[in-house]
Amino acid sequence: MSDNIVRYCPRGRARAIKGFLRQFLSYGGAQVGLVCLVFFLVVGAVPNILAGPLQTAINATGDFLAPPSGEHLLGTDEIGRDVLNLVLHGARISLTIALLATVISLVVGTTIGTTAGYYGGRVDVWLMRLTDFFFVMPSFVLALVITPVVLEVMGRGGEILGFRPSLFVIIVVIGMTSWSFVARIVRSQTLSLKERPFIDRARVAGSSNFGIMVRHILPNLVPQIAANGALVVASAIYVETSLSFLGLGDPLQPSWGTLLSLAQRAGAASAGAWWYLGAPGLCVLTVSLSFVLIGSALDDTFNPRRRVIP
Amino acid sequence: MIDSPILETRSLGKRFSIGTRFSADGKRTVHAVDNVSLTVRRGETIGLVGESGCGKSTLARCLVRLYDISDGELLFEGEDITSKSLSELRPLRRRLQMVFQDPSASLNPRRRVGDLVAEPLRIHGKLSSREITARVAELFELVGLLPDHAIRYPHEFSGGQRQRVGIARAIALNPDLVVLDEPVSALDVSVQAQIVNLLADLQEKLNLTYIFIAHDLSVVRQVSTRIAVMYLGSIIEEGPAEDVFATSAHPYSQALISAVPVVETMPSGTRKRIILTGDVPSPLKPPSGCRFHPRCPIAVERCRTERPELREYRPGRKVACHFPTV
Repeated sequence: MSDNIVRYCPRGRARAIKGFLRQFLSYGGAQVGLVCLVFFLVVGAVPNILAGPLQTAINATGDFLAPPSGEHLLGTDEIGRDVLNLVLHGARISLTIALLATVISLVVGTTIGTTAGYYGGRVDVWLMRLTDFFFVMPSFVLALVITPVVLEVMGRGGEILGFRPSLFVIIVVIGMTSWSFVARIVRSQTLSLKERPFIDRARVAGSSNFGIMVRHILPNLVPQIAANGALVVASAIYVETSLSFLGLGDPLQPSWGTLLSLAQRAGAASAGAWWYLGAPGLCVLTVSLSFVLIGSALDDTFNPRRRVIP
Repeated sequence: MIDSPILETRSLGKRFSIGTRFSADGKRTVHAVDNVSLTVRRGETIGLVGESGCGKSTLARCLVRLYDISDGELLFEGEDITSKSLSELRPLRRRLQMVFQDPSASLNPRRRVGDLVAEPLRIHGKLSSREITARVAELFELVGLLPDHAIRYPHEFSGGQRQRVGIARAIALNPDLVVLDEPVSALDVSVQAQIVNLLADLQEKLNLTYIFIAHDLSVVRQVSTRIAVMYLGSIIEEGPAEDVFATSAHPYSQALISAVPVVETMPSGTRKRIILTGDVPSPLKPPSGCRFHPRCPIAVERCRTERPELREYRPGRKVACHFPTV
C-alpha cells in the first residue's frame, strides 16, 4: 500500500522549501560550497566531454613532466599524460567513493543510533560500546589496516557491483569506519524524540516498533543526518585520498589520491613539477572544504539555536 | 450485555523507580497509581478528576497499556490484558483508543495530517488506498474539518483544529472505548466548548464509551455520567456525576467542588468555599493511614493509622473515608 495517500501539497511544501533555501543561502560559506560542489559534480559527471577519454601511457599526448602550456593547461606527468585530463577523471572516482562511503556510513550510523536510542537498556549499552570502539579508533588507521587485508583475501581482479575490487573495498571500509559520530548524534536525537507524545499516539494507533522508528522518528532526524552527512563526505574524501596516496588505490582508475601518489613516486616535488602535485591537491582541498562549508551551513540552518542573532 | 463492563480494573497499580542505588537517596519507588478499581460500562462517560500530579494521566496510560501495569489486573470486555505484549495488543487497539492532552505535541510535525489520520487505517484495515482516502475525508467531515485539510501539516492548524485531527485519528477505526486525557485543557474556553460538543455528538453517533480525564470540573460535570475523584494515585470517591457534585461525601471532593468558580446568582453566603491548607504530599513519601489526613479538616487519630477502603456506602456511590458526609 502506498504511503502517500494524500496528494503532494505544493503550496505548504514550496513555502517551507523556499524559506529553508533563503536561510541556507544567506550563509556565504554555503554559497561558496555549493558553487564549488556543483562545478566538481558536473566535471565528475562528464569528464569525457570536457577532456576526452582517460589517457594512459599508450595514448598520452604530451612531453614528460612538461609545465603548463596552451596545449596542456595543467602540464603533463612523467609519462606524458595530460594532468588536466587525469584530474577531471579523478574527480569522478574520488566523488563516487566519497559519496557512496557516506551513504554506507549514514545508513549504518542511523540504524545503530535509532535502534540504540529507541530500545534503550541493554541494546543501547552494547551498541554504544561498539560505537565507542569506532569512535576512539582513528578511522584512517583502521582503514589502513583493513584495506590491504581484505584486498589480499579478495584479490585485485574482477569486478564487484560494477567497481574494481580495490575501489569497492575502499568504499566499504571508509563507510564502515566513519559511522560512529552519526550514530551518536542520531541516538541522542532519538532519545528525545521517543519521549514525545506523538510517539505514544502512534503506539496507541497500533504501530509496531519498526513502524514507529521508520515512519515517525526517522523523518524527524533528516536535518541532523543531512548536516552531518556533508561532514562525513569531507572526511571520506580525506581518508580516500590518504589511502590512495599510500598506494591502496586502483592505478587503472586513478582518484586524486592515486594521482598524488603517482606524483610523489615520480619525484614531482623534487623535479619542481608543482602542477602535477598541486592540481589534485587543490581539488581535494576545495571539495572537502566545500562539503564542510555546506555541512556547517546546514547545521546552522536546521538548528535555530546556533543561528547568529543579528 | 448492555450492562456488562467494557473495561474493568482490579486493584490496578503503577510504580515508577526513581534514581539508582548509587543516587543520594538510593533507589526509590513512586506509587503513581495505587489500588484503583474502576468499572466502565458501555455507553457511559466516566469523568476522572483530581489535581495535577494525582495520577490521572498515568492511569489513562495504563488503561491503554502505554505503560506496563505493575500491580492488579486490567480487563477489556472480560479479557485480561494486563500483561499482553505489544503485538498481542494490536487487535485490541482498534477498539481502545486515546486522545492526548497536547494536540500540538501529539501530531508528528513532519507528516501530513491526512497521513496521520490514515495511519491506524493502514495498520489495521485491509482497505485500498482509494478507500483510505475516502475514509479520511469522511472522518475529517465528521470532526468538522474540510477534507481538503488532509494535505496540510500540523503546524498549519489552530489548536482546536489540531485536537479535531487527534479525535479523527482516535475514531478512525470505530473504537468502542476512547480514553480522553485532558482533551480540552490546552485549548481556550470557546474552543473547549466546541470540542466538548463535538465529543458529545460523536459519542451519540458512534456509540462510544468515554473515560474523560480533566482537572476542569465544570467541563467534567457537563460531559460525564459518572465521576471518579482521584487523590494521590487512588480513587477516593465515585458516583453519578450530578450526585457527586450535589452531595459529595469525601472532604477532598467537597473542597475540590467548592473551588469551582461560579457566577454568583444566589445571595452570597449560601456557598461555602473550603480552602485546603498545605500541598499534595509527595507520592514518594505518602502519609500513613488515609492519604488525605494531613490536609483534611475532619481528620482524627484513626485517619492517621488506618487507610480507608473505597466502599459502597449507598448503591452507586463509593467513597474512601472513615467519616463520609452522608
